[in-house]
Amino acid sequence: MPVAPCFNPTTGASGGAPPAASASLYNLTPTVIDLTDGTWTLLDPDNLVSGVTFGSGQNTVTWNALAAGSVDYNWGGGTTHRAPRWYKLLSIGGSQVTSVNHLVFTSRFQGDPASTDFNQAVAVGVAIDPTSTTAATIDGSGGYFTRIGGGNAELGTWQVNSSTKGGNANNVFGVTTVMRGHNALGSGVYLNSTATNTIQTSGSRNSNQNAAVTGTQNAYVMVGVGTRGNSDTVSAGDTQVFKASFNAITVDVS
Amino acid sequence: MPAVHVDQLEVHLAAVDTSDTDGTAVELEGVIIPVIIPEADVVEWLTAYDQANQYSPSATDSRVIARAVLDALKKAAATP
Repeated sequence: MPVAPCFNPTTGASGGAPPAASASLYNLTPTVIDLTDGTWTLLDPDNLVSGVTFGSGQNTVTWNALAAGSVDYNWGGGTTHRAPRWYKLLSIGGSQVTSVNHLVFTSRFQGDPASTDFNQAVAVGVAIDPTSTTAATIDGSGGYFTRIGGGNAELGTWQVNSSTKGGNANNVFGVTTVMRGHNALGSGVYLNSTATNTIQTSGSRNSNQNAAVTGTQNAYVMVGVGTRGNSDTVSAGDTQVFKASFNAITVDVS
Repeated sequence: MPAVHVDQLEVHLAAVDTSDTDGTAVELEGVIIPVIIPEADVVEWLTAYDQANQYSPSATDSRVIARAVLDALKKAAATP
């Protein structure tokens, strides 16, 4: 016969110990993405990245030449993704997040206004297999940034091989949250803001993928860089400069 | 006649990367208008449309869809 606790060990009150309280989720501090901190692995199938540095909170990615544009370098299109991406396993408090966990992933992205070298894109999100070049195997979703040269920053959400974004001259940073889990890729929502937290644009996009993953697969954080459009090219030495950060929580909904 | 509705509260301007019905890439900024076909009317719509016939759908059916979409666009354009 099991022994039932009779008293609260802290207060001495009857009824045993109270249920353990979860750590507060109020105003979580984001994890700053530093692609040079040694925790990230770069997959660059076509040798398009010549280097990456980190300083003043910003990542600077320097490109080799991309002479012929292709949908393969556009995270928002096609069925093949050959654009460079950094990735690492997504763990929370030492626990590996999987495709089955009910995951809420929030990313914050802020491109440097002076970063205007080419028609660029950056995806910051969650992937199941970031080592693949097949969009439906990568199974990625998250925040998405694009910009045509020195035009307006377009910020929104990336879902596998599509995206919805809001462009505005006053966009300074964007915050995107995707909800995934139970092997579904879920959806993403976003708010784009000025530097003083005045929202300029907002929106959402569904993945329409309710059974994308089979079994229980590890989840990864992924930062993908690429071109905005299918025919955009990049000159050798062009850079992308950006700040990015993320939070991830899982919820036991069983 | 089968019906068509628009989710007017979801009509908004956005930049979109996606695929068209024929698989071609769509990459533009535009007004997103969610069109809702009542589930009970899906078969009737599909029956009324012959993709191989250049005169299909009928002018009457076309007008139902066109007016729903254009009314939504007009309303969105009139909203500051």
